[in-house]
Amino acid sequence: MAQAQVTIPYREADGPQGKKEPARMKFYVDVKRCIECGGCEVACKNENNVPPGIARIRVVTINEGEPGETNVAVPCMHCSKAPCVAVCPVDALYHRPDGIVALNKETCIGCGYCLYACPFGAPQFPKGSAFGARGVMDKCTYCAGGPEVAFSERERRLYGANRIAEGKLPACASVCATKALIAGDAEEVANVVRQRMVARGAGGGAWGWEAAYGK
Amino acid sequence: MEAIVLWQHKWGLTFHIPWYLFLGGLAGGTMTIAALADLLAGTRERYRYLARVSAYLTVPIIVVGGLSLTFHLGKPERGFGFPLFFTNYQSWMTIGGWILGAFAPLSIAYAAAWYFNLGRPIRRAMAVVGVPLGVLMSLYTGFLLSAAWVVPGDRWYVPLWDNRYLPVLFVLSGLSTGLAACGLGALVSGRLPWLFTDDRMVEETWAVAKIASLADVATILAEGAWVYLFFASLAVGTLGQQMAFKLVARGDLSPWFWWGFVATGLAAPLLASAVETIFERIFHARPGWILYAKFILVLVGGLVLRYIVVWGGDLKAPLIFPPSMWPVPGIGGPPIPGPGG
Repeated sequence: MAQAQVTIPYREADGPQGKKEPARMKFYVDVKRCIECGGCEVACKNENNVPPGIARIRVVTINEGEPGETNVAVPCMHCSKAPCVAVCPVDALYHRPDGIVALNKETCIGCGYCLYACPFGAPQFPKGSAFGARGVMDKCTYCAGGPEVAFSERERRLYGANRIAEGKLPACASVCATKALIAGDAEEVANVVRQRMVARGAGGGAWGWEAAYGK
Repeated sequence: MEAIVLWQHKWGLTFHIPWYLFLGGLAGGTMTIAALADLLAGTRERYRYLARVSAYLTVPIIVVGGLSLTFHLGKPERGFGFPLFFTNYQSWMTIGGWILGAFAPLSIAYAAAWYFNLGRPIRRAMAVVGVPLGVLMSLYTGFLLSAAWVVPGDRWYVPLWDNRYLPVLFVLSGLSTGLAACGLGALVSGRLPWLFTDDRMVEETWAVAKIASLADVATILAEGAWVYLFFASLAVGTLGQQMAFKLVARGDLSPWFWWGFVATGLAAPLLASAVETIFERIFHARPGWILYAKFILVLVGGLVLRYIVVWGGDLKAPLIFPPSMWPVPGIGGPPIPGPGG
């Protein structure tokens, strides 16, 4: 296996000791903005050639057709203290320096322990021989490919696109029409969330039905 | 309450993992029984016979169970080469790989020591290691599912796999099924006259079956009490635990739970023991078929328990709204309350 140098996004501001700090890549899903268009699901499948049966991101609706209906897209949250990384016996799941939880399909043995550890249902087990790999897990790559030569045929086949190496954000966040799903460095994402909270008010109203349709 | 409920299926889709959990627990039980009986035998022949039957039974059980575990993997050859590939010693799967990797050779060596009459000191030295290793084998299957203290913050998102109850439940179930397997093995071997050179040994097999049966009554009572505590705590626990309770005790899995496990694995064997005692004390009869039935019922109940636990694990702890409550470090609020946390 050709191990390649991974391309990592860095923060613009210098860190302590004048060193360049790697970014801390994150998703944030704004339930006030998500309209359940499914654009993120389609963009993900299109960008990564995700086979049927795997949903690296999916839009979930609760209280459908009732007052208080809420939609939310659920991708891998790329946790800092990721349970999947903790339980993986072969260390196939790991943190990249930029915080993306990546999966090495070469070392994965397909035991499914991560599937049960994850609260979001991010690691999934493909039915059949998807992605040219026999019986190994599949998960959201944050459109960062895998531990292969960037843009190589092999990376494309095993993991899908590598938009991070191209300097782009994940496909799902890029296509989100209402900017409900935002991606990027944690500091930037936190700033956007903070601005939105200031603009529309926090508290119960920010999350409930009243703010949009109430008196 | 508003919450996303996720269902994910993998281990319950094929027979491999439920059967491995059953056979692994069973092998741990038979090994513990064999080693304990060996160490406590003294000059009593029937304990020696119990130890011998259990030692022979452990080998095929753990071999079939281990193969079943390995072949559920996408890459079984890496399962066989676990010392090379399993590098995360935080994970219970790695710890369990080593437990299984130590247990299987020991059980084979122990059975060989009986078969080739290698002498008492060698055998008993192995038995001294065999008792803790057998308990560990049963215990580990429970820890694997509940991943105690492995996941940061001691949180695990499968509400049914509660690390406070599951490991002990699996040890008790392993012991009760192990005793049933030993009793069944003794009864069957008593029917094979070519195994023995004198009639005295055939008489001993009945005594062994009686010992196993009696010890099983105590184990089943303890198991029943533990299951009660387990489900009582689930019923009043977090939202996810209550959903798991409803799924198993009231929902889709309830026929399996009440008929397959509670009735078949707990109540019926106790009833069978009562009937057997009545027959023996009052009618002075020796009803072998009741003991056969009892042991088979206990084994079936143990297998159904593993299936229930694996199937019930498809239910994830619900994600409570809003998502700012989700455990996303750096942005999110407090982690969602999981079982054991």
